[in-house]
Amino acid sequence: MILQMIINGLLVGGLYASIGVSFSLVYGIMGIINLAQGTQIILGAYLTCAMVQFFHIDPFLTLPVSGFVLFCWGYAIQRCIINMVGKGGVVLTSLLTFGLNLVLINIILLIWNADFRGVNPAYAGKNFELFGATIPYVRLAVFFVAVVATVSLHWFLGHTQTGNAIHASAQNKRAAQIVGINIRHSYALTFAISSGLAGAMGTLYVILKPVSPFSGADLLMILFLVAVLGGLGNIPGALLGGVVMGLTDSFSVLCLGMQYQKIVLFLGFILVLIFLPRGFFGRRFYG
Amino acid sequence: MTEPREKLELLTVRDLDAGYGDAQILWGVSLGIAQGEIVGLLGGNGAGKTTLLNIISGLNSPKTGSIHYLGEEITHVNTYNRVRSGITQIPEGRQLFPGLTVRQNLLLGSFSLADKSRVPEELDFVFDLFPILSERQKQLAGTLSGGEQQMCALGRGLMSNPKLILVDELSLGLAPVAVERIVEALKKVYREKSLSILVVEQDVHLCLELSTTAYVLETGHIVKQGPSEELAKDPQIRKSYLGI
Ligand SMILES: Nc1ncnc2c1ncn2[C@@H]1O[C@H](COP(=O)(O)OP(=O)(O)OP(=O)(O)O)[C@@H](O)[C@H]1O
Ligand SMILES: [Mg+2]
Repeated sequence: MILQMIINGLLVGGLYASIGVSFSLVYGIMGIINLAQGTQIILGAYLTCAMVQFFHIDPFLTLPVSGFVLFCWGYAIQRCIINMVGKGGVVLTSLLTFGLNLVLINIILLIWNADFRGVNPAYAGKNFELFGATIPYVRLAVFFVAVVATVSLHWFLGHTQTGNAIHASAQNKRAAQIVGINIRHSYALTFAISSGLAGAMGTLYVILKPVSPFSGADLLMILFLVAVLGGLGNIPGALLGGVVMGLTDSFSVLCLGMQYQKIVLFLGFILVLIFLPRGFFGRRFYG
Repeated sequence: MTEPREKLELLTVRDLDAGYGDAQILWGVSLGIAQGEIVGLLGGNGAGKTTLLNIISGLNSPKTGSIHYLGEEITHVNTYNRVRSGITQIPEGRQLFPGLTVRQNLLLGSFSLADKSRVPEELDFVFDLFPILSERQKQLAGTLSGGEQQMCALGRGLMSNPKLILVDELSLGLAPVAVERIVEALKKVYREKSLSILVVEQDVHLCLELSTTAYVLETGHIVKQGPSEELAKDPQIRKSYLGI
């Protein structure tokens, strides 16, 4: 039983981690709290539903498309809109992303109505046993894809020239310009990567759980927690944060019941802010 | 007086007015750098030297006036395009990327190089110039000593294979030995690469020794200019800057 909980928690934790990382990245590099991130994930989820419905393809196959669409969207809004108030500080940018969130929700409402949507692949019920615990293949696949996405992002940021340029733009804006980095592009790219990751994670999320246009709010809570737990801007930290969140999630559902899940999350958030405001590792050089 | 021979102008700054907000810092500043020349820029604290360099590198923009580089006007060209065309600033206070390694800092220096196959060559040149950087490749730049940081900053600037380097207060906060080491390196760079240098230095001796022509900036005005040798003999400069 305990083992089953741990496994459930770990599996969903991979997804949470990735979601947290996508949020943390933008904060770490640009100091922007993207309140639209939850809904960006939901937009990715809706795109997946639409593609599955129209083309009758496997939902996992839609991941690159959701990711790419959100990537382009992220690039465009950062370069054209957020960039304009970037100097206004965290309050202004937060207001802006809050507004963007409302716009996104309404776009989703316009196109898809307020109904819950989900995908139900034929293999959804299939699972296997491991030491007496049940592991659904779908959850395992979601975990795997999410972890691969997060780890590749981490690798990209640490080991490519573009990744270094992104870090450089965060660490010293003027010096970044001096070495010839186009920092506007660099910031837009960072935002785009974050949104693209969110879109891709939307695909994974909707494979696990149906979504409504308003589900972004729940996700926002989760990604706040994961990002804060991991130390804002810290990618390896966010991975750990995701797992801890997943475990908290599954334990609270099991021990207290579904209806208390959000309350536990919220209490957890407050406790974290009080006792671990800098997360497990504190903040490193991500911003 | 007759000019010995026609100098090929690399950079020409004409009638620059510039400042921050309402505060005007530079007043009608004009200055020229010929190809292969080392030009010195002298001036006390707050005279506007860094401001001028930032305008040449494109970090700040002037109110009026123009900048020409290799015969083309670049007054409104972005910093990253200026770097691409060969203008590199070695900024005051080093301005490294503290959370990246020495190697990553240096490699970012060649971010603007179109021909990436040159990178190993440039890196070898820098390591040859400052062997210590080669030993400290994996160390985070923020943890280097002041002298090492200045070497890293100079090295990073050289990684873009520049035609013009703008050196701001190379000697600031360094022990005399370290200054000497870096100045030797700079001379070596000048000998081995065909580039021009604009040197901003508080150390007037050093500045006039390095440069062939120099300008004196006082509260945003160019008050004197001429061959460095002559300026070194100028009684007024000796009095106010050399304290003799
Ligand atoms: N970002 C800024 N905003 C407002 N004023 C500035 C800014 N940067 C510089 N200044 C002002 O401009 C003037 C010239 O500064 P600048 O840094 O160009 O001087 P400097 O000649 O390089 O001096 P130093 O030798 O001390 O480096 C100073 O009075 C300074 O206070
Ligand atoms: Mg200065």
